[in-house]
Amino acid sequence: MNNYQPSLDSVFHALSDPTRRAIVQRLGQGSASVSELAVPFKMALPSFMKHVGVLEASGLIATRKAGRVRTCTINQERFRTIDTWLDEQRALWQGRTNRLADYVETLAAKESDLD
Amino acid sequence: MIDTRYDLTISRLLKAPRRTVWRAWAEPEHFVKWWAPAPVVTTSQEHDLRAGGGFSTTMCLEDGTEHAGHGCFLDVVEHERIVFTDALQAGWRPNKEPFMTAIITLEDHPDGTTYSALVLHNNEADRQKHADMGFESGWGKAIEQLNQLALQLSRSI
Repeated sequence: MNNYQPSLDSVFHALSDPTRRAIVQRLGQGSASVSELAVPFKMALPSFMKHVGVLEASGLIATRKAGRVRTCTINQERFRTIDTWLDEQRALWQGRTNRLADYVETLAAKESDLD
Repeated sequence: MIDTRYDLTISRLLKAPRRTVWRAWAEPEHFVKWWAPAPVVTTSQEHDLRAGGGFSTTMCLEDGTEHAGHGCFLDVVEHERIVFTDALQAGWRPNKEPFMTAIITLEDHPDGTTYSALVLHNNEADRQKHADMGFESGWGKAIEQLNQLALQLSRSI
């Protein structure tokens, strides 16, 4: 049961951003090329590509390149991994624990400097 | 007793001594730094770390929306254990919509501290989930959109 949790974390991370949620919504209506997807957003293409990359890494979307055009498609299977409230809660607590880990490691380093 | 339908456990090795992990939980100035992810800003109104003490935080979202939570610590053993719930608030006063109790445990490990969270939920989760997820970077919104999207997708197949 716990095996897919790290990837569940990446799904929630991917969806924590409004631009990425908008991309997912748009792709829900059908596949589109990166340049088509980028039109409504006022950002440089490299920044936009980063968002596409995060979505792809989470498995929520897939991309394929034909010539100079990269086409994005939604990966429906992936959406089924986040359909229970308990998974949402787990992602919340996992995020919290990860942030605590980073925080205390920095805090411990500061404390040992003072010793 | 753990009921896997409603409960979850998380355990992780933190590379810091137990007293440091304790500080990160016990001192509000540290606690607010990690409780919610940026850009959500957490502020602490009450962090009275003793049995019956109030545990109140407010999450402020980027769009200015605020979510306040009022809980109560049930059991506190310094450097070892924190139990809190949203079923009660300060001084054991009952809350309207109880949802969870969390049991946080710290144990020594040769490389630091083993940090465990056991989170017990009631089964009336649906009502609560959006409120709970809402402050976490708009996850509540994301889930809502996803549910709509999943519905659209299932119709189009």
